[in-house]
Amino acid sequence: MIYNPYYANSGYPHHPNTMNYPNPMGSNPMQGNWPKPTTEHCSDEVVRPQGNPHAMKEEIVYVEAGPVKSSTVQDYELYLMEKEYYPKAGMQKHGHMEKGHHHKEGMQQHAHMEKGHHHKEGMQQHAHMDMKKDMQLTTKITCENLPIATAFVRPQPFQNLNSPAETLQQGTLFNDLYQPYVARKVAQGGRC
Amino acid sequence: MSRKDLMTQIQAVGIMAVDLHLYLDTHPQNTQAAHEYKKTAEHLKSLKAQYESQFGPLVNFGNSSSFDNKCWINDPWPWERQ
Repeated sequence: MIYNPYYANSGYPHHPNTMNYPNPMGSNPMQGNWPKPTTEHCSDEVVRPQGNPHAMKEEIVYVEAGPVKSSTVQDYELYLMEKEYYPKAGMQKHGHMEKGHHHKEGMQQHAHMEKGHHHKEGMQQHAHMDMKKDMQLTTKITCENLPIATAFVRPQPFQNLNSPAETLQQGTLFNDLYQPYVARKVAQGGRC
Repeated sequence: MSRKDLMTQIQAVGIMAVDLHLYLDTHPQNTQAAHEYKKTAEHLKSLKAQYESQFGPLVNFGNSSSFDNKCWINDPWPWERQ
């Protein structure tokens, strides 16, 4: 005999194998004291919209990722440069500044000023750049100012081709694509 | 070449042809890959012709160059191979 709460005291015909006794959770199983989904396990970092569900557009959900919590925009851009996500022109510009040319330009500008030439516009621009740089140094990365994610697949070069026997063994003609799964111990950092 | 070796060779070259075909789907301008594909396809065709001439048809339904019904029926089926 099986107790079926969807049929108990509902007025619907009972299955011959179910017992007809009062439902302890109430007459309607959808309105009784049945377990309901809970949000207690959710993180406090997520701000959930309350009240009018149509106000979803006005609400902002903040979810800060751990690794970039204390990073700045400049850190992120340096990371992108290191990973060569930016074109080489950006790197050259960076290197150009490192080589001291920037300092040389500053010296020239200083010399001009000594001669009485007031480069007001240039100074304003310089100050603006400094301000922008300061903002970049102090602005923390949030969901709002992160760049939009873009999927990228590197073009596959036509090289390192396998022999027929290797192709059958590896399941691919391209040796570069052969990356068999090697079990690693997570407890040891996944490196052995 | 034994029957098993020839079949293994056909399977290996078949995978090469499929992989090259897939590569050319995304790199249609690669002349080296196109040349390699042509060479591999011809090699596969010759291997299949050699197998069929020695051991009977590989496939049925009009795809085989020669058809021997007795051979086709009596050959071990894929699930019968050890």
